[in-house]
Amino acid sequence: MTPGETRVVRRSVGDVDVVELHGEVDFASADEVREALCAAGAPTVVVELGEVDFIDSAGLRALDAANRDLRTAGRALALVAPPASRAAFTFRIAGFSADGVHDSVETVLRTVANRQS
Amino acid sequence: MRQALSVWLEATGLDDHKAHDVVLAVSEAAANSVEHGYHFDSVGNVRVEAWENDGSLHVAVHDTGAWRTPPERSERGRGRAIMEALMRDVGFETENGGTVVRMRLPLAGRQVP
Repeated sequence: MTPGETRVVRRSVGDVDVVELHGEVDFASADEVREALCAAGAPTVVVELGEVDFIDSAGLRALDAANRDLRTAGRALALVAPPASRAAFTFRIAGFSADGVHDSVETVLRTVANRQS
Repeated sequence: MRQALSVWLEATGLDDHKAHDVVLAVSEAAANSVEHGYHFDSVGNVRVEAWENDGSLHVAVHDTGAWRTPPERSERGRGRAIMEALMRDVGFETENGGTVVRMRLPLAGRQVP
């Protein structure tokens, strides 16, 4: 992967689409990331940011925008950023709302499973 | 731009965490320039200068667009919050019709928010 590139890896776990982002989420990749998140078809979309090397405020805006789009469509976006990750660091210093930021994909999947049972 | 800056920072012996802080702050300054200076409608250059002096790493990000102050509490304000969390003495000035964002990072100790 060349520097500056963003890679998207998808998987489905039951009713949840997990979108794993690698590389950089910035001004240049913001639209691509927003589209990738909205293209997932499940009621709940989890974006896994633990492998992101770089994310800036343009990246946060892309996540906000995807969250709005999905909510409008009656769906939900959950963010996963382990506390030691670059993404969690950017969230903290930018004052990005920590509501809905989870430590792991498993935490989100358990929450969804509990809601359904 | 980030790649070139990262290479230079590595050569100065800055550790990975500090280098990431500087690259993130500079990226925000450049994005501010691009969004507020140019409004996406014209092509302009953003020039980044970085140097060491007096125990600090100094950075200046110049552009040739007209500075517009981002609205308070807007999501655009996050870029500024990020710069101010990572660097000291973040300042915005106009210069020959363009703008320059200046900031510095003390090279001893790292601030962790």
